[in-house]
Amino acid sequence: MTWVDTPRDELPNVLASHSPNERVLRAHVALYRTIMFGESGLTRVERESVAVAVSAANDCHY
Amino acid sequence: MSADLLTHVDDRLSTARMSLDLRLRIHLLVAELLAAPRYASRCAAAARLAGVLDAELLLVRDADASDPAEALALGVARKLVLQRGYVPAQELRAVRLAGFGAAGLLDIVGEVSGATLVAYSEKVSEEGDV
Repeated sequence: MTWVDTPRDELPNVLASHSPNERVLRAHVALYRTIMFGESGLTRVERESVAVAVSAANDCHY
Repeated sequence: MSADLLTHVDDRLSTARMSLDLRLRIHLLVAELLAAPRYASRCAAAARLAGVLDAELLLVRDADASDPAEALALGVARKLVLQRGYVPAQELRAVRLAGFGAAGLLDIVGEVSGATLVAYSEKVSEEGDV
């Protein structure tokens, strides 16, 4: 999976858990990159803030 | 080699692929659970084109199917939506062992995610601001 860029060569568990299904992994990463880093009217901080709010509502500790 | 390890290896080697009509039924189920009627209509129409009978479509409302393995898959899809991703380990294991494997289980998660995105988009657009 060299096409997955990760800082400090660490692969997050949320991505590692997709390893049995490369197609879903690729779709997940593409969607994440588009939403978090693509063109948007939201700033980076606003996007991360939305992510934190949703994660908290879903009881997602990641 | 333990039974658990054998199961793990079988999962990793699984070549099972989810059928198109089951994918469409998962999308229909999610659309109905999230009250997205337009997307539900499109999913039902697409499922009919894919050869799904009306009787099978009606079962989707109860997250059920005539095929026991597909019924398990739809049950997991429903819990992913209603319980925000929390599905009992026993039910996840049942789906894997029913022939979907770990790859198929992730397919179900992917289909639910995609359908949720469309359903949410439909509901937001209905407010007229998108």
